[in-house]
Amino acid sequence: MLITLLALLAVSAPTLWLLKPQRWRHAGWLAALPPLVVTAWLLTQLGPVGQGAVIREHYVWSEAFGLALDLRLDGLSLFFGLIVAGIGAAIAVYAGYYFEKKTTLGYFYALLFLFMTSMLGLVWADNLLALFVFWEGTSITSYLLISFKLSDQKALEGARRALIVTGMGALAMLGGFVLLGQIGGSYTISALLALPPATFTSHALFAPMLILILLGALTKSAQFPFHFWLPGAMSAPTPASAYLHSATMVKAGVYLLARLHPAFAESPLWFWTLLVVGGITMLMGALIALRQVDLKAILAYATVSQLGVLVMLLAFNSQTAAVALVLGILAHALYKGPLFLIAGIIDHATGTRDIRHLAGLAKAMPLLAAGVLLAGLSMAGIAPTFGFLAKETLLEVFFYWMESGDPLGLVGLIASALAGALFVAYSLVLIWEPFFRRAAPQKQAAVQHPPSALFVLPVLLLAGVGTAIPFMLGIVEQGLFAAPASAVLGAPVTLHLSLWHGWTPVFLTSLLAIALGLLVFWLRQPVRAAFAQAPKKLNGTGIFDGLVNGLYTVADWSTRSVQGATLPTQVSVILLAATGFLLYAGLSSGTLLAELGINWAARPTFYEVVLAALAVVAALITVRIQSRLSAIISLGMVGASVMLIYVFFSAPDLALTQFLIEVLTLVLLVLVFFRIPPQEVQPIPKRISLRHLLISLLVAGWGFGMALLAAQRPFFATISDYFSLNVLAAHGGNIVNVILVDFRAMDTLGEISVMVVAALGGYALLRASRLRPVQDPSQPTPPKARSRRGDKNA
Amino acid sequence: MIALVFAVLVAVLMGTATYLLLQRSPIRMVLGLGLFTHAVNMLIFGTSVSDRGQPPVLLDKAAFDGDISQFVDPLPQALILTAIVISFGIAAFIIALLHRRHTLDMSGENCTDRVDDPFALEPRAELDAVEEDYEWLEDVVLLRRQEQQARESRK
Repeated sequence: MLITLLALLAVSAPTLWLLKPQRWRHAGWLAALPPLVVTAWLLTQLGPVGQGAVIREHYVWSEAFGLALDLRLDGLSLFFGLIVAGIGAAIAVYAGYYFEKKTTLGYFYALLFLFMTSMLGLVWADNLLALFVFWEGTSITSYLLISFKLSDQKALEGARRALIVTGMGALAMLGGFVLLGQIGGSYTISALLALPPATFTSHALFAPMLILILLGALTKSAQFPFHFWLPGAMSAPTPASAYLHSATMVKAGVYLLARLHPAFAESPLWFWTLLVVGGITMLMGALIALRQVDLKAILAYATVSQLGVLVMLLAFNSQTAAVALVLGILAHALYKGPLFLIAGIIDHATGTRDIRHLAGLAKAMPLLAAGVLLAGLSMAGIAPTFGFLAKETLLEVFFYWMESGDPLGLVGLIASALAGALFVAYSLVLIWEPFFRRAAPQKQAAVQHPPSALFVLPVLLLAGVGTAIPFMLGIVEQGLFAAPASAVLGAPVTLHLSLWHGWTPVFLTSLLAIALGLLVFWLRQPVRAAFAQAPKKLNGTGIFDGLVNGLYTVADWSTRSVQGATLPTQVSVILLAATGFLLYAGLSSGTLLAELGINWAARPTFYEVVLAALAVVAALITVRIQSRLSAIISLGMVGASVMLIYVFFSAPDLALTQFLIEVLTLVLLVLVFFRIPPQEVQPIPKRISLRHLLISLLVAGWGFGMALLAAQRPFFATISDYFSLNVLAAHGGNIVNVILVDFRAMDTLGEISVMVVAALGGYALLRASRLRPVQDPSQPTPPKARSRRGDKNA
Repeated sequence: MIALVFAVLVAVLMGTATYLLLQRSPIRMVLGLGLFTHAVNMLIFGTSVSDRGQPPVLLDKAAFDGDISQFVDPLPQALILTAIVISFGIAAFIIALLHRRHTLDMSGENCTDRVDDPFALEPRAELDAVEEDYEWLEDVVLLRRQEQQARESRK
C-alpha cells in the first residue's frame, strides 16, 4: 500500500503537467486529490499504529549490493507522513489560485508532486541507502523550485547556495551511513535500532560516524552555522516556501535525528552538539528576524529559530522532551504554513511584502485577518492554542532539567523563555502591522486584487486544524502524539496532555515570557532601529560566497599555471613532472638507487662506440645549426646511426623498419618544409633560453638514470621467455614477427588503426589545402612564399 | 659498460629533443619530436643489449630444441617496432598539419605557437579569425560555381 501511494504521487507529477491545469478555473482542487487520498489513508491508520501496529513492505532493489526498498510505517513515519500529505494537499489547492491562469502552473505541480514523493519516501524508508536517495530527491526538487523564476538572478543564487550546502551535507551523511552500516552490520534502520545502543557508542568509529550524520541533518535543517541558505531559499514561489521551507523539507534533518535518537541519545557527543547548535540557532534566528522588514524573511528566520528549538529538544533523552518535540513539529507546521500562505496572498493582493508599506488590510480581507489571528496567536504561544501547548512542554523540559540540579537548566530555561518572548513580539507584529494599524510608515500599498474566498480557504483550514487539536486531545493523543514520541524515545510513552495544569511555575514562566514579548512589541521601533545598525558583514552568505569564489579563483589559477597557454609550457610541465616522479621513486625506495651500478664487464666494440658518438654529435648539430636543410639532414644522421645500432645489436627487423621510416620521414620533411617560408619568430630572451637549457639538462639526467636502471633490471625476462618458447606453436621462425602478429596481435591492430587515422587526417588536411585564399585585388599581395630560400630562422 | 654508452646516448638525445620541443618554431618542434622518438626507442632497446646473442630468428625450425639463451630478448624489439611505426604516423600527421596551417596563413607573420587558451578573457579575436577562414572558403566555392556555369554555358 505504501508503495502504491508513492507511485500515485509520482505519477501525478507528469500527469498534472500534461493536463495543462492553467486552463481550468479550480485546478487546485483536482491537484489536491492525490495527497488527500494519501492523507485519508494515513488517518485510517492512526488507530492501529497508535496501538503499536507497524506496517512493513519489502521490495528487492539490488540484491548484490544489499539494496532494498524497505518501507515501514510506525508512529513517527505516520506522523511526518500526515504533515507532508496533509499540508501538501492544502498547498496544492492554494497553488492553483496563486498561479491562476499562468502557464507555469503545470510545471510547478510536477515539481511539487515529485518533491512530495521524495519527502514521503524519506520518512517511510526503512533502509539507510533508500533514505539517502529520497533525501537527495528532495534536495534536487527543492533546487528546481527555488530557482523557479529563471529570470531572477537572486533566486538562482539562492538555489545554488541551498543545493551546495545541503548537497555537501548529504554527501557527508552518506559517508556516515556507510560507517553506521558497517558498525551495525545492516543498512535496515529498524534492525539497527533493535541493537543495544552500546554497540554504537562503544565503537571506535562512533565519533566520525556521528559527526558525518549530524552534518547531513544539521545542514538540511538550516542549523547554525549552516542557517544562511534558508532565507536565501525564500526566492522560491510562496507556496513552495510555505511547504518546503517551513512545513516539510527543513524538518527532514529533525526527522533523521529523531529516527536515530534511540541509538545515539546516550552519547555525550550527541547531547552537547545538539544542545549547543540548537540553542545558538534558536536565539540567533529569533534575533536576526528583528532586523527584517520582508514578511517572508521574518517568517524564514522565525523558522530557523524554531528548528533550533526542535534540534535542542532532540539532545535530551526524556519522555517530556520527546513529547515536546512532537508537539513542536506539528504546531510549527500548522501555524507557519498558514502564515507563509498569508504572506503570499498579501503579496498577490498588494504587490509588496515589505512590512513598512502595509497597513489596514483587515478591512479589505476579513477572512485573511481571521486566519492570521488563528495562526499568529498559535505562534505566539498564547493560551488556548496549539502553540501554547507546545511551548508549555518545551519549558517543562528545561524546568525539570533545572530541578535536577544542573545550573545549565536555568540557562536553557531563560534562553527558551527569551526566544518565546521574541516569538510573541513577531506574532503581534505580523498580526498588527499589516492588518490592523491605521497607516503605514512609508507609502502605503493598496489592495488591487482582493483574494477570493476559495484562495483563503486552505489558510483557514490549516489554521483551523491547528486550533481544533488542543480541544480534541482525548481523541488524537494516542495516535498523533504518543506513538511518534515512543518511536523517538525508543520506549512506550504515556501521555496526559491538557491545556490547563493550574498555576504551575512553568505557566508563570510562560506568562512572564508573554509579558516580555508585549514589551518588545511595544518598543519595536527603537529595537529595530538598534538592530538595523548591527554590523552586516559577518553573515554566512558572505562567507559562503567568498569560499565559493575563492575555490573558483584557485581552480582558475592552478589550471592556468599547470595547463598554460603555450605548448612549450605544457611540454615542460609534463617533462618536469616525469623527472620529479622518477627522483621521488629513486629517493623514497633505497633499493632503486642501490641497483644503479654499471656492469663494466660487458664491453662495447669499437664500432658501437663510434656509432653512439656519431648519433650524439648529430643530435647536437640538429640543435645548434641554423639552416633548416642541414637540420633535417643531421636528424637523418641520428636515424641512420640508430639503425646501425639495431644492426649491431641483433635486431634486423628494427633496422629494416627504421631504415624505411627514416627515408620516408626525410622525404616528407624536405617536401613540406620547403613549401613553408621561414617564420619571423622573435628571438627568445636570454633568461628564458637559460630556463629551457636547464629543463633540457634535467630531462637529460632523467634519461641517463632511466637508461642505467633499465639495463640493470630484467624487465621483460619472464614474459619474453614464454614468447620465445612457444614460437613454434605459432608456426613462425622470426620471434619478433610472431610476437607482433600472434601473441600481441591487438597491439598491432591498434598500431594499424593509428596509421589509418593519421593517413586519413593527413589526406584531409592536404586536400583541403587545395582551396587557396582568393586574392582580393584591392589588397596588396602578400610576399610570395617560395621566393625566399636562404632561411635563417627555421 | 655498454649500459653507460646507452645511457649517455639516451641522455643526449633526450636533452636535445627537450630543448627543441621548447622552442617556438613549430618546425623545430617536429625535429625535437623525431629525436625524442629515437631517445625512447634507445631507452627500451637498452634493456636487451647486455645479453648479446643471435637475432631472434629461427633459421631451422625443425632443429629448435627450446634453447632460447642463444637469442637476444625479442620483446623490446617487438615493442620498438610498433613504436617506430606509430611515431612515424604521428610525425606525418603533424607535418601535414603544419603544411595546412601554412596554406591558411600565407604570411607567417602572425604565426604564433599559442594554443587556444580556454580562459582567455576575450576569445572573440580567435573566433573572428576562424570566421574569416570560412569567408574565403565560401568565396572560393562561389567562384568555382561561377566558373563551372561559365564553362557549361560555353558548351
